[in-house]
This record gives sequence, structure tokens and C-alpha cells, in this order.
Amino acid sequence: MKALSLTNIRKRFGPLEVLKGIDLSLDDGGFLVLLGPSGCGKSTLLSIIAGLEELTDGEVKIGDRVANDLHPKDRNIAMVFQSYALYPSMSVRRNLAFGLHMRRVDQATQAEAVERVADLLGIAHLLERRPAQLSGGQRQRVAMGRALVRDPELFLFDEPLSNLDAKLRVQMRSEIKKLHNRLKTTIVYVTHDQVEAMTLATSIAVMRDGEIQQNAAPSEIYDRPANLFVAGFVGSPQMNFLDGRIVAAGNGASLELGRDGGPENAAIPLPPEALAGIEASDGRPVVAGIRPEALYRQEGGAGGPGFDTKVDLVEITGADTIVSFTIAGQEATARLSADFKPSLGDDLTLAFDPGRLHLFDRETSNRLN
Amino acid sequence: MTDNATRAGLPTTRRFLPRPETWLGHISEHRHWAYFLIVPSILFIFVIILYPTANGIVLSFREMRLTRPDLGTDFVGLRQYADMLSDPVFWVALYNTVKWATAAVLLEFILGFAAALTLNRDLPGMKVIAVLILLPWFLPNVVAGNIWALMLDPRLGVLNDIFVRLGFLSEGMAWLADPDTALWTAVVIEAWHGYPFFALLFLAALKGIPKDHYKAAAVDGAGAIQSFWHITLPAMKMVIAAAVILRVIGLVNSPELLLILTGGGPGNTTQVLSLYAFQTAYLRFDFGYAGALSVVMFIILMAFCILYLRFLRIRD
Repeated sequence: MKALSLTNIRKRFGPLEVLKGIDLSLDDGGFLVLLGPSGCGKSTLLSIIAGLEELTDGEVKIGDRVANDLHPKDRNIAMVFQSYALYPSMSVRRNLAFGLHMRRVDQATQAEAVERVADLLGIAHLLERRPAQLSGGQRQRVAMGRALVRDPELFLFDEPLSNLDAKLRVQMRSEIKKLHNRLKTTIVYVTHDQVEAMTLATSIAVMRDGEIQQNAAPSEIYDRPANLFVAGFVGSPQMNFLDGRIVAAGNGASLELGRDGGPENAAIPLPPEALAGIEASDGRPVVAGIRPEALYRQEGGAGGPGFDTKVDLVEITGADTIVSFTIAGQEATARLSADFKPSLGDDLTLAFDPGRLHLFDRETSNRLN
Repeated sequence: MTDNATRAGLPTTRRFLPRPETWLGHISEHRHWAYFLIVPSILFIFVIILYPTANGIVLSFREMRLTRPDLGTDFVGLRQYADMLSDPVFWVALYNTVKWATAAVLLEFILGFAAALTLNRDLPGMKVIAVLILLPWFLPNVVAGNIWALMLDPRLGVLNDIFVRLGFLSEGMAWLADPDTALWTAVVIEAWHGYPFFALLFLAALKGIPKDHYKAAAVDGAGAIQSFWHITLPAMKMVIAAAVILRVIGLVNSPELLLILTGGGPGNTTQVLSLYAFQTAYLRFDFGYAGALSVVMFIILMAFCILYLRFLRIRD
């Protein structure tokens, strides 16, 4: 049984269509991340699942119940808000118990559930405080506790970590992951942070302009992005996009980099496996995508296909050295090992594993190989 | 020393007498600068509030009747206050003041809250309606009083005419001249005039409640009434407290509306303390007794504020 199924969800605000037919489903115990830039409709979609926003068309099914016309309180969901939305006039204890209180759960069970969640999240010493007396991280925990206390069918998280500082965000991220592993809850999680999405999700739905661009496991999103948008959105530094053409050469093919009519084209011979699934029609315009971390320095002759270039810029992060260079008149970056410390203008020979080359159609921007 | 310096061409005077802008700059850096800035306001407050208040209190312990100069203006101790205890009009006025303020605040509160809740909905035209609702508040008491007095006139009044045509009344009624209806009619007029005050403050407070709190409550299982009780009311507690206090003070202290509508009549049925004090001072010219009445009003209002805040458990 699916914990959540969305069928052809549409949402219109006046003439503006913000969701254009979303189909998604999530297995019991799954962790679905809705990932996308601001304004892509991901929070609207979450509100529709929660019942806080009416849908224009489509069907929301939670468990085996059609939830379209159910009030949020009847959907058996819990939600964590970006603003935490803790009730300022109530103590932490009352905040946690509020959902149970509204459902007329008896006092003893309420107290027991609150204690259990408070212990789980390490907030037992904060129970008598008001939200205003808590730090950002503590408020975040209380907000999570308020969701956990009721043991609902579905948890909804709306950018829960974006109000925390960088260090705390990383810490809470791993706590959410641990909680999910431990409690096996079903979660829909909205974020614009690709690292959060990659680390937490069992399944990522990348959204743009009210449409799902790709819905797949994190590794699939990273290794086989469905189009240029997904390829560019996931990964940091961003994937290099290089305009070029596929040119037949002998019994194989080569990738001729360079903009049409550009002066300094570079041809890179490609083995057949890099072209799997592509008709090697002569001269097909493509965008070649290579992640900065897929590039490595070629010393000697052996290795994958490669090219010569010069170092334009060096950024040392400590963990790696990010080198910017130009190839066929187009800027690109490579993430190289930290012990490599070149100077500006140094000659550099870079190579890549042909299996990690992504080819996209220049017209449709969809994946080719 | 100076001679030597002058001979050497050094600008000696400058060092000891800085230019005015530098001097001002120095002072404004000083930590007492803030006190200089509030001196004008303090002076104003002293001249137009503190001095008259103190003088009024002193007055209440003296004889001061402009119609009886022969009595002099000596101190009479607590005699004015003792007279008050045996003055039946004082007790009627005190009772009416409580009725008047309670009923008017209650009615204005309910109307204002309902208006604010309505205006807080995201419906087309609400901004225009918000301005229209505020209009009564813009009218001076005197104008509002006269308009209503005219509308309620037994022979000429449009309201009486409507009531007669609708069959509620057989003939025009003198609402403000009937001891049974005068005070309550005045209360309705006051509520019409004063409820925008509550509507405006409550609307501002409602706008300040984050929408997420309602969403969280909805997910937590709260319906409309429970959301109102657990989210809206607690968030508005401070504003409600402040609005009620301000309005009670306003109602107890301002005699204008009743002065215009009824002048305290018929037969003192609409006599309130503020009006009684006003009439004692400016119709009977007994400033000593009027001062004593004002002091009693002041004490009653103070007591009300303290008890009310205690009741709401607001300390800060």
C-alpha cells in the first residue's frame, strides 16, 4: 500500500497555474524530498497534501483514503513549519500536548506521550518554558516533537532547517535522518537545499515551475539527471555544461566541443559506452555535462578521454582544490585533490571517465545517453 | 606663553574655544544629552498636566464658590468629601457611571471584535469597508451627539419615523427624555461612535498573528472555535487589555456626549460623575466640590486599572 499518492494535482491562483499536473507516490516508511528553487510550487504542494490549501484539480490519497475534502485535522498528518509556528502563549509541554488535547486524549496518555517525545529529542528540561525563552535549535526540536507526539500516518516538513545557522543545520539534518531510520516514519520534506535532499531522501522529486522534472533515488538524480535543470540544480560546484556536437569518427564517435562557428574547437574521442542509446547522427548539437569531481589530472598517456588546458583560477577549500579553466572558449571547473596547488597559467591535462559524461539535447535539454 | 605662540603663528584661540558645531557635537556625544532632549516635553507635561492636576487636588480641600465670595477660599480639610457622602446625586452619578462605562465598553468591544474579525478576511472590498467603518470615530463627540439627537427627535427624527412606518411604534418616542430609555439610548449612540476604536486596534492585532499558527492548529486538530480560543485570544490579550483600559478611561472622563444628548436628565437618570463634576464647576461655579468629585473619579479609575490588570494577570 502506498502511504501517499498524488494524481494529476493542479493548482491555479487566478490566471497563474502554480502546479501543472503533479503525479507522485510514496511507499510506507519512505522519505520523499520535494526539491526546487523558490517559487517552483513545492510548498504549495505540501500545503495541498496537508489540506491547508485547496486544490484546483486532481486527487490526494493518504493511505487508502481520498483526502481531497478532508479537513487537515482529519487527515492523520503532522507538520513541521519553517517558522516552527509554536504557540507563543503555551509552555513547551502544552505545545507538545496540544494535538492530543484537541483529540481528547486522556491526561495520563498525553503526559506519557509528551515525556516519551521530550526524552527522544532531548528537550525534557525545557518543558515548562515558553517558546520565546528557547534558542532556534530548541524551537526546532519542539516543533519536531509536536509532530512526533501524535504518531500520525504522514509527516510533512516545510523547510524545517532553513532558519538555523549552518552548523546546527548539519547537526539537525543528521538527527532527522537518525529519527527516520529509527522510527520508520513516512515523510514528505520540502527544501531548496540540494545537500539536505541528497542526504535525507529515499526519493527526490525535483520541481521547477509547477512541474516535476525528475523523481528518483538520490543516486539516480546525481548520476543520471534527466535534464539540464536537474543536472545543474544538484551538485556543488555546479556541473560543467559545454556546448558541442557529436561527430562520427571511424567506427566510433568524438565529441567536438565549442560553440557553433567558434574558433577554438576541441575534439575529444569518445568510446562507444559513452554514447549508449544515442544515434550517432553526424553533427548532432549537444550539451556535454561533466561534474567538476568527475575530472582528474592525467599524468602520462593512460586514462579516459582528455584534453589540454591552462589554469585560470585556483580556489583552495582545504578539502579540495577547485581549478577554473577554459576549454573551447567555455569556462569550466574541476575539483582536484587538495595536494595539487597549481599557479595561474600552468599547463593542465584533464581527463574524465566516459561513463560519467552526461549528454543533453541542446533543443529539448533532455538527457540523451 | 600666548605671546610666544602668537608670534610663532599658532592658532591658539581655537584650541580653547571650539567652533559652535564642534561644541554641539561634543554635547550630543555626552550621555546626559537624552535628558536635554526631553526637557521641552517635561516642561509641557508639567505646565498642562501635572500643575493643573495638583492644583485640582489642592482645590478639593478648599472652599471655592464663585457665587459665594463671602465664604472665602480657605482650606476646609475633608469637608467636600464628607459632603459627597451625603449627596444623593453623587451616588446616582457613581452608579450611572458604572452602568454607562460597563455597558458601552461591552457593546463596543463586541461590535469592534466582530468588525475586526470580518475585516481580517481576505475578501474583495474589505479595505474600503475598513475605512467606512472608521468614519464614526472621526466625528467629534459634539457632532455625533447632535446628529443622533436630531435623528431621535420625537417629531422630526428620521429614526422615529422609520420605527412608526415599520409598525414598531404607534407614534414618535422621546428616547432621550424617557427615564427608562435615556441611558440605554445614550449607550447605543456611544457604542456606535466608539466601536471603531476597538475594531482598529483588534484588526491590527489580528494582522499580527502569524498565519502559520492557525495552520499548525488546524493540523493539530483545532476547529474554528478552538483556534479562536487557543490562538487568537491569547495573542490579543495585551491589546484587549490596553484597549479596554483606554476606553474605560475615555468613557468615564468625557461628559460631552451626555451633555449634548441629555444634560444628565431626565431627573439625573443619565447623570454621570464627569458630567456632574463639569456642571458643578461651570454651572454652579463650586470649584472646590468639583475638584473633590474629580479626585474621586481619579481614584476610582486607578483602582479599576489595577484590579483589571491583576485579573488578567498582566504584570509587565
